[in-house]
Amino acid sequence: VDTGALLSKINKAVPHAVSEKQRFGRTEFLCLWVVREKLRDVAALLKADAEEPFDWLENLVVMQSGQEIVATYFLRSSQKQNQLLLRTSVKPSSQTEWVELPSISSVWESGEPMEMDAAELFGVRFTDALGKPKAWRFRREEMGWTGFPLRKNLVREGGHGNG
Amino acid sequence: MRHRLDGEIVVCSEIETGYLHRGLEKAMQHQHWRAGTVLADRLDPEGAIFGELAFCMAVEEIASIPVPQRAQDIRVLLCELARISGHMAYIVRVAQAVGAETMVHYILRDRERILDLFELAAGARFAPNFLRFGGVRLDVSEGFIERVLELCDLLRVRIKEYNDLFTFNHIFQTRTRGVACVSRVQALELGLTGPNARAIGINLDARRGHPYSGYDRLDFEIPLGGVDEDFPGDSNGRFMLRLREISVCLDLLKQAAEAIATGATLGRGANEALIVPAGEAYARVESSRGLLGCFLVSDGGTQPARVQFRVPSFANLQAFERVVPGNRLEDIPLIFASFDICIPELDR
Repeated sequence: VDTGALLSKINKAVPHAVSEKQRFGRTEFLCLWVVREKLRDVAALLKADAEEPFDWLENLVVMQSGQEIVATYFLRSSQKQNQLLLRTSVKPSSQTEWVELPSISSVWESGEPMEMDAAELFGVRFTDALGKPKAWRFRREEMGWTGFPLRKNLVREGGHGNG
Repeated sequence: MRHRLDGEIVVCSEIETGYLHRGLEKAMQHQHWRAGTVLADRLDPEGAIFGELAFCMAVEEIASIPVPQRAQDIRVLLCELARISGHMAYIVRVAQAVGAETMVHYILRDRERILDLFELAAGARFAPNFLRFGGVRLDVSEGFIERVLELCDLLRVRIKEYNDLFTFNHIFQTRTRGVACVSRVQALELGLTGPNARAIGINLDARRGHPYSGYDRLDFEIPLGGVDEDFPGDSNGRFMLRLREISVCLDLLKQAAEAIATGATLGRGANEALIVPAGEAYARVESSRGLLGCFLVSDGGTQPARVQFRVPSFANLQAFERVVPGNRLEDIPLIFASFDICIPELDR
């Protein structure tokens, strides 16, 4: 990926969207930290790019880093097989509070089941363009769980229930 | 799975997942690094070695652990055996869905031989727990390579038998041709990978795209389904592609077995205290169902900070949900089987 050209394209279309750029792990792949509110705009721009559309959302990973909930989007272009990572984060007010992230399933349809999978495990409400959370059925509370299973504060003891 | 019907035709369908959630990723984050391979085995019971391999590759990338050539070759052998076994299990499910019980027994008879080979190498038939960071647990037992080569010869004969009995059977063809077609555009939108994507001509295979474990040293063709077929991307096409892939796997097995390197099966220092420095990695392997990814984060501690698996069954299930409307109720088991969806892998 031509980093300079890509960044200038993003900055021109969605100003102040990228807060930081870094390499992913030991690889050469570019990882862009994107301001949460502008994530969907950047995603739409990357997918619609005429030269190299990032048309495939390969993976969506949500994780907790410190107190923050971080979402990482692994993008691929099916034409040139280039890769790009987008990252955004949100800080919950408490470990039992839901947080909100913009849904990208309107851009990449394959993101819907990935978002649904991460939503209940991390306590993330994915919101549409109007700011409305996706209406998915969550079973956590029906089953007597409090907190969110994959957040760091929830410690698993003995492999049963909520411990 | 809920379907709304108009007579016998499905009008819309809705699938709810999560009933088989086992907390695998959470459990891995509470175990020592080395215990992760045992849990990674449980990701996909039919292709345990793929989960192990993805996890080991991610750890090896973060910790810069080299893998000796012989261990790489053994990994390839086990992966290809698991791929054939996975495709055979697929054929069994499709055969069951169309009521071809004889075929089920024929296939299971031959699949037993592959499970015997896993038992010979690792001591376990389904969950081998055989890979280690920097190699494999043991060298393969005496006679393993010879038995792999024997299996290759046997399965070549058996494939013809399967074709005569089942593949080109008029009833099977009628039941599967033109059923549940996925277009190329849909496949790309849904992120389909593996044989389901290759059946519609999408040339995507991690063994070629991101070669690992020495696949770049092997000579193999990736079978692709033709978009010029009568019914591109139908259930029959997905079935046929897997049969063709079994042939390719046999070629790969033969090449890897005949050219297996000599030497150590575990890198130097692999038995010493494991230190995984802070960092992150994303490893990709081509499982029998599609692209399997393992995202791993280390904070420098004794356990992973985050493990996440990108499983192919997500997209497969989404494709199933998308194409079911418009089909007949009695075809649902066949369509489900034709997408090779693994619920344990999906729910983790």
